[in-house]
Parts: sequence; C-alpha cells; structure tokens
Amino acid sequence: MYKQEQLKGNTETLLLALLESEPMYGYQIVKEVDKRSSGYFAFKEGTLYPALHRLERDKLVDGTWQETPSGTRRRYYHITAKGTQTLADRLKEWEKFSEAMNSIMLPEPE
Amino acid sequence: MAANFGNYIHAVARQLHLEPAQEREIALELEAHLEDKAAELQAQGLDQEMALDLAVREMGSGVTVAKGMHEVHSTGVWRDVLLATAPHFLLAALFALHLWSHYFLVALLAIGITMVTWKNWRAGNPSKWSYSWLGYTLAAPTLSWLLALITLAYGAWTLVTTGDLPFSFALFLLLIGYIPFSMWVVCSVMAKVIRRDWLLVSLTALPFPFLTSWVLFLNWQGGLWTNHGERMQDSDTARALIFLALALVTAAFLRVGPRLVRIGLLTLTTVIMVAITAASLPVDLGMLAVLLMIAASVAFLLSPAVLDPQRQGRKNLLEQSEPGGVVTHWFTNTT
Repeated sequence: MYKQEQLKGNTETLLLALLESEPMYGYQIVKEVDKRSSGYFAFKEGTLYPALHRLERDKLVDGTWQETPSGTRRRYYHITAKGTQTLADRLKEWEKFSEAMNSIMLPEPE
Repeated sequence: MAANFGNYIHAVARQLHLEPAQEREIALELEAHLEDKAAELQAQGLDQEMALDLAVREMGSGVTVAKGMHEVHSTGVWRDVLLATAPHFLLAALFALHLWSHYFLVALLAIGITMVTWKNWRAGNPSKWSYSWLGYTLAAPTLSWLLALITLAYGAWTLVTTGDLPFSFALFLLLIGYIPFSMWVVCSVMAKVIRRDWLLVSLTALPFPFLTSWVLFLNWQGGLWTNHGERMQDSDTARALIFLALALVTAAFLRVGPRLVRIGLLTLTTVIMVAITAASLPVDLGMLAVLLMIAASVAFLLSPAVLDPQRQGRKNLLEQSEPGGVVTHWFTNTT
C-alpha cells in the first residue's frame, strides 16, 4: 500500500526518466518498470495511460503512432525539450529530498 | 484477437465522453496494450481465453481508466476558460452598463455570438470553450419558441371565447409553423451534444432558466417590445451578477476534472442563480414559489442525464470489468 502511494506520487517523473533513454509505447513502459525495479514496482496498467496522456497534454511528451515491422501499430511516446528540462528540475529536487530524508531516517553512525 | 476485447474497449470508449476521434485513438491504444499483454501470456502457456481474461483484469476497472482519461482530456487550458467565459462577461457588461434595452446592441451581440458559434461548429469538431457560446445562440430560438407558444395559446383562447383572432390569420399560421421548426433546431443540436456528453448539454443550457424567467417576466410586465428601460434598471446589478456567476462556474467547470464535482457546480450555481433572480424581481414570489423554481431549474439542467440512452448499458458493462468481476462476459458477446 505504502509502496503504491510512493509510486503514485512519482509516476510522472518516473515516466519522464524512462522516456529520456528512448521512446517507448505503453506496454513497453510497464515491462521496463518491472525489469528495472526487479519487479519491485508494478504499474497499475489502467492508470498508466491517463498519466501518459497528462504528460502529453502538458507538452512534456509527444505521442506518435508507429508501425512495427510485423505490422502492429503502437503509440510511441517521445520526451520533448520541455519534458527534459522538467525532468532535470525534478531530479535535482529529488536528490535534495532523498538526501534530507536519508539524513533523518538513515543517519550515518558518528 | 482484438474482437475478444471488443466489449471492454467499446464500453471504455463510450464512457470517455470525448470527441469521437479522441475516443477512437484511446481505444486503439488500449486495444494494442491488451493484445500485447494477451500475446505474452499465451507465450507463457495460457490458453487464449485465459490470456484475454487476465489481460483485461490487469488493465483494471474500465470505469477508472475512462474516468482518468476523461479528466485529462476534458479539462480546458486557460485559453479555453477565457474564451468560454467571454459571452457571459459580455452579457454581464450589457446589464451593468444598462444597455440591454438598446435592442440594436442586443441584436448585434446575438449575431456576433451566433457567428462565432457557427464558425466553430461548422467543421464538426467543436472546441471545449464553444458550449457557452452555443447556449446563447440556442437561447434565441428557445425563447422565441416559448413566446410563440404563449402568443399562440392566447390567440387560440381568444378565438374560442370570442370567435375572433386577436391577430392576423397569417401570423397564426406562421406561429404554428415556427414552433416545431425552432424546437427541431434546438433539439437536433442538443442531440448532437448529448452524444458526446450529457453534462455539456447542461453547461450549454445553464443560462436558459434565468433567461426564460426574465423574458417571461418582461412579457408579463406588459409585452416584450414595450419600453422597460427605466422600469427594470433597478435590478440590473443583480442580473449582471448572475452572468458573472455563470462565467465563474463555466471557468470552474472547464478546470476541474471529476464529473461529480462538475454536476455539483452546475446544481449549486442554479440554486444561487434562481435565488438571486427571485430576489431581484419587483414582486414577492413567496418561499414556496422560489423553491419550486429552484427544483424545476435543477431538474431541467440535469434532465439530459436521463436522455443519455446508453448510460445504464455502459455502466453495467464496465462494472463487470472491476477486479473480481465476471470478466468471462467479454468472450460470450463479441459480435
């Protein structure tokens, strides 16, 4: 429950971070999150698409339909310049946040 | 394979209450996801039916998916808010500056609003901001229909009681023809809007209760075309406030996503609007009459929900996609 809440609050940053490495489609994102977090995070698939569309509405990502060699059409999401900048800002904030949290919750022994 | 998801995808798409092109695109994206998921599950050894079942289950509640998508796509940006509130502000200015009895100005404003609506609607893809403009455009045929009906009833009653028509027979025939025509115009436009979202019909019709009560009052005060300029100017501030309230609620409607909040906004505004209207009239209507007016106005504005023909069917279909629901439904009705 706590894990899902943590994930919910950071879904958009997580998506931007994933899309910064390469354009992906929805199902690929689910698989990638599962792989990179070694199964720790599991995206609720139904909530992924509203989050992706919110990012697109805010012009942080751009969705385009592309056809795969097998003929299947998929909607790939590419991060935009605005999205890259937003991600950089959020990551800076995340570093400060996690540092502050760690200094309180996991203090180094003196 | 995609046909097996048909009911789920179709039900989600219909629950989106968006433009058909947007609904189609979202449906295609969800369908591609479910197909990928089912294919992977089949590769792991599940039979097709089990794979489809699990893919739909893991996608989660269709209601949640549709609600999330609706909230993202139905909220307007600030440009939409500015444009949607513009006609309300124009009407507020008309009353605040006591200009409403200058019929040339009113006609000019009505023509301007109609032209903006026409330009936006003729391409068949109306913008989010256009519904308030549409409301004022449809107010003219709606109110004229009402006045024509009153005139016709008066004519018929006089004919029955005295044997003479109080106006020419040609006008009598014209009114008989005009009433169904104006009703047809209003109903056909509203039918198009309701196919997208019944709440947009309510937003479009938001000024109707106030405009109707005001025009009926003017008519009751001695005819619409007599000079009311001095007689009614005392309560112009209250009327300007009503249009400002309409502008505010329109802005809030476009900025908030959840449908229940939107319904609450429309209901609350209607109650306040009717209360201000009743208080601003130079006659004492009495508490019961005001309560009845409020109830009638709220019922009128929320009535499009009843006219949404596939609402219940969609709801039933989507509820069965809730985790733990009987998802085998999708495989037995996929024509």
